[in-house]
Amino acid sequence: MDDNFHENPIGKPTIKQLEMILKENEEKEKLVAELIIANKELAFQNKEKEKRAAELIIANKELAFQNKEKEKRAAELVLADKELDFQNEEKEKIKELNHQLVLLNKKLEVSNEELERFAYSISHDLRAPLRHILGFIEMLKTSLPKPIDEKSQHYFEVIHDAARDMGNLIDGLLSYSRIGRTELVKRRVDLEKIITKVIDTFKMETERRSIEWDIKKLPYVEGDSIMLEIVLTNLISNAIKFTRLKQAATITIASAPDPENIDQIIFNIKDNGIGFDMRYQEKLFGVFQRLHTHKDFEGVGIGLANVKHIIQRHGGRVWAEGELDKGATFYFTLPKYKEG
Amino acid sequence: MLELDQILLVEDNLNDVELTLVALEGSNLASKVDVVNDGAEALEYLFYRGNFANRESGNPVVIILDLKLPKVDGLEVLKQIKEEPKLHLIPVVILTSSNEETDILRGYKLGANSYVVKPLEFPLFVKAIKELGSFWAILNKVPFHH
Repeated sequence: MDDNFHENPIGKPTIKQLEMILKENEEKEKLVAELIIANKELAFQNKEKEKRAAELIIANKELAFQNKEKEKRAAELVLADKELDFQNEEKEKIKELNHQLVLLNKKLEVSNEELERFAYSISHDLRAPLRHILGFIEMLKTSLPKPIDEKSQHYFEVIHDAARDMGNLIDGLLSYSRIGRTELVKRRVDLEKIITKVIDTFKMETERRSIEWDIKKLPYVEGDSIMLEIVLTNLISNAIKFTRLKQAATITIASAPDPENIDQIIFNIKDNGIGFDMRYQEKLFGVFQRLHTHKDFEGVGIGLANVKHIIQRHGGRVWAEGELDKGATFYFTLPKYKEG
Repeated sequence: MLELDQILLVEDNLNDVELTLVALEGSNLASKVDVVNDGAEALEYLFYRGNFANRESGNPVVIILDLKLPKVDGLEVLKQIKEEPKLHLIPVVILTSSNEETDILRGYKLGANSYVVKPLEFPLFVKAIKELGSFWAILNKVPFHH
């Protein structure tokens, strides 16, 4: 037993005991203070945890959002992938089309060569027998006893004319095919100059006739001057031919802007000749199509076909208007000449 | 190289041969014509080969050459003539039905001396052949020593 309690055995606290109680109290107070602090700490920690929780919620939300974004992005990537696939497919398609174009081009070259050979063949092989017919007819005439009777003379003429006509048809066909095969050399062309030149070449046929020429001021065009000379030669020759029965012929050449295409000009050549029935307008530009008999007007019917062929190769159009016995107007369009 | 007075006519079509000879008769040249009927024969004649191995030696005064020929075509014959030093000075006149620009160009590029398109009408044909014959076989001069 402790000495301190021996001094006060009936329960009255001794100083020592008081001191101990005080000390105990102090320690309790300290403990309480510590507990308060610990409590505060806990409260603080709780708050922190709440804060953290809130932050976590936000972070979670953020993650959810990011996930959604990623999903969206993934979807976009799928789309982009599809787009790429599509583009690749398109590329393949273009490649395939290009390949086909190359093949087509080769085919065209081959058919052009064939056409070339065909024309050569016409030129060489079809003409030879005609030359022989014409040659041996002449020799037969000289070797027959004279005089040759009228009937035989007539037969000779028929054979001769038929062979010559066939020759003209072959030449016509050749000229038509040559237009398709010749490469165009495009530059500035002064149609007025060509017209003057062409009219001059028909001097022999026109000098004993009364023809009033009215050539308006014409703008420059872009084209192949040799080809366009063929066009004008045909149209002017037709105008001269089909006004033959007129006492006073008038031939007008003029131009106007093309309302359908600002880059084109419409040219027209108008005459007061025998004209034509508009019902046959379509036939006018066909190969070997004629609206008149050989007896009335000469020609094989290739001129206007050549005109159409040339104008179309220049990207233009041709058409005609006419009325029987009143005259005809032929129209064609050509690209405007552009400086530079 | 000796020069013959002969005209060498290279023509496969017998009708054309006959018509050409008729026309040349008018200039008294028909008897001076040697006729061969295809390109291979023309080369045999010129190079003394085959049937012509033993022909009288000498070059023709002019060669009248058709373009479209059996076996070896006219342009090939022309090419071989112009590549051969012993033959290249012989005047070669192309006489053909073809008035195709490409043929005319190729002919001149290979060294043809003249290109004549056979006229369709007989009087014009006769006139062309006569003039051609008398110009190249009589009027025209070629170097004597090739």
